[in-house]
Amino acid sequence: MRHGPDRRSVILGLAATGALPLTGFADTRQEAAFVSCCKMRDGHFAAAVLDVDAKLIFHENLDGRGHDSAISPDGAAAVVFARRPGRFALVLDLVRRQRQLAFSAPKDRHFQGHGFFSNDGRLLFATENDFGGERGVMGIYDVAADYRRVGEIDTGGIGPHEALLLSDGRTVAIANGGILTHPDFPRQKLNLDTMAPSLVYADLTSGDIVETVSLSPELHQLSIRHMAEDGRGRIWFGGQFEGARSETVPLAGWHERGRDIQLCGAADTVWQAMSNYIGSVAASADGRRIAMSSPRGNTVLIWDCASGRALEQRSIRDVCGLAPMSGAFLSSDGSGGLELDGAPLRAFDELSWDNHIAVLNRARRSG
Amino acid sequence: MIFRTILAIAIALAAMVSLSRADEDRAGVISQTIDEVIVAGYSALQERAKDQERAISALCSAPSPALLETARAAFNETVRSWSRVEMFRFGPARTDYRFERMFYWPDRKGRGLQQVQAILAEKDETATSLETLQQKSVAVQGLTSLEFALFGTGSEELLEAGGYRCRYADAVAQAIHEVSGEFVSAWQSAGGHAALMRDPGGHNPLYKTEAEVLQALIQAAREQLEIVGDIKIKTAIGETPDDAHPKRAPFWRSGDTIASLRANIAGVQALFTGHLDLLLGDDPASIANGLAFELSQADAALASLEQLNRSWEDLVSDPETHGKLVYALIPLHGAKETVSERYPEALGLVLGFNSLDGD
Repeated sequence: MRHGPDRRSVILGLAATGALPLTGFADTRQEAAFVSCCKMRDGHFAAAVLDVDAKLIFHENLDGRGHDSAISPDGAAAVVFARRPGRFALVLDLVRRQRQLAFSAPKDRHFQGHGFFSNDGRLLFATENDFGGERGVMGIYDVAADYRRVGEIDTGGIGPHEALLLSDGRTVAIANGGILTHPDFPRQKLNLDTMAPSLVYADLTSGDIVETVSLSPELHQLSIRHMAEDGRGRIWFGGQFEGARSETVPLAGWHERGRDIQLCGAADTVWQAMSNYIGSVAASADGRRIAMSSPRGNTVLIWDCASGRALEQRSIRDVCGLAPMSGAFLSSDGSGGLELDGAPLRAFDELSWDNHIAVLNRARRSG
Repeated sequence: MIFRTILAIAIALAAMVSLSRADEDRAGVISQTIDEVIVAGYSALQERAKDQERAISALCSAPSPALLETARAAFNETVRSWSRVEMFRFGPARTDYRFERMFYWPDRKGRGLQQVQAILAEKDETATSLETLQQKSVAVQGLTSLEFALFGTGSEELLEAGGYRCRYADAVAQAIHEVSGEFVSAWQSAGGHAALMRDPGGHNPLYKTEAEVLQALIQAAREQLEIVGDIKIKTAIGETPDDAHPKRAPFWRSGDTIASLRANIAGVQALFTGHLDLLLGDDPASIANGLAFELSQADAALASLEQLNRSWEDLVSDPETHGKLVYALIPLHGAKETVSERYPEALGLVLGFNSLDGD
């Protein structure tokens, strides 16, 4: 892979945004910091691992299109999930820089593309579709037993997408997108007329759902899909509106446990810039800002968590992946570009970055 | 030096002139495509739906085998007209559940069908007037509901004078006529979707540039080819006849499966031939011919099956005809690749990897 066509503009870009050139991390260079799926120019799919400077360390081919990854708490492994309705998962050894093993969702389930490790690193949880039962589950996999599936938890809704382990280490927030799909009709949305998305909290130790919140009936077609936790423990979500594109609705909001969902307030022009579609949500390292991307609107929106206001709107073509990086936000796009707070950082001409960037704690901290 | 500067300015001006000429062409082609393909397609559907409503109303007033045949034939025609415009799943199709009200498919687990059967079993009078029918589930007021009423188990009840089934079919036919009219006005009214597509810009909430309008149209074609190949055909025929589920395809009850697939393909072809293809200029790589060839190959395979006059289930279960359906997937796949990759490239459109098919 070839790096940026113009290193000077990269450095200038960094200077212009106030971010320091990435120096002083010599000890962490070439250690994995980010994992993202991608599509190579020749058409095959891969997962790429980048260091704290967002330089490529290695990549591994995938059997099909990937989506997000779960990173083990010790940073030694990443599990790359197939994009729905795929059934493969690939474990990457981030220390040896190679694939470790592959496993699959059971025959009657498929991955939804997101998951996470338990805090002790012993279990992996993956959002899955029980398409026969028309319900969402989180599959539980035993890491030490080569990721053998040992059980599942009901997500209390249809079409679970992103699930986050919250900072208390035992509660998981699950975005039930509400859209019914079945592998017989690949990626066709089967219930747009009756969809009912929800945000559900489950206790991982008991498997019980401890809280469910949903949107008001007129927003029942806003599929809640991606989330991030802010520094105060509130969940920020970005949605995808399945109604008419000519309708302008608030696409994002936040939720504090025990309360109602709050929708983000912003001018119609801001929501229009997001084209009814938020593809990825990430929190800054300090938990004070939230970034949301819209590849369809070619826009990244930054929210201030304290005031709930939109701080900034950045224009980046086909942007989707987001991750905190050195006090800023790293973003990725479909032309192979990586940006730091909107300024070009690297260009990978031979690939398209896919929807998400998973981040290791060391990259989060390096701000 | 001066000469070179003048030359440079002249070249720049020429480039600007040719650019604005190209823009004008784009606007003209887009406008013509909307009129001749989309609005004309929905207007034809509205006409067929009107004929269908009349035919069913006539059948209900004086039931006879001949009038039942006329009503069924009117349904066949409506399905063909709908299948020509089914691909425009954005804009007006996404408002007020118009798409689902017209065409409730795929009907996973037969939920929509069960509701229709329940209405017929209970002889629910509120399903026989347009106003109250429209308040019911979207699954009981469109083409698939009417198909069951006209062709499904018990359809001989349509020959009973004043029978319930005919009155339900009549209300559904009115609902279909009404939704098709809504499609026409949502496209062509002042401030409607056609107006939005004709006038892209910073002030336009949906389309900022002509490129975005073209992207929406090309995306609709790409998606339709994927649905025809990967969902309607592949899902129904499986790998082998033993593995097939023919009833997953739409319109097998009325014998319209292949006709509707052919109309889906013809709809895609119409969007390009004589319309978007004009934007390819001299088309040295012959993208337009390539697409036309792939689509005609797929259509020819389907046409040869249609001529056999056999049921869809029969065609799927016979290894020889099954093979022909498998073959049709190849040019359909090629056509999809051409539409999703070669056209955007030739037209200078960047169809973003992430924005194209999100998750």
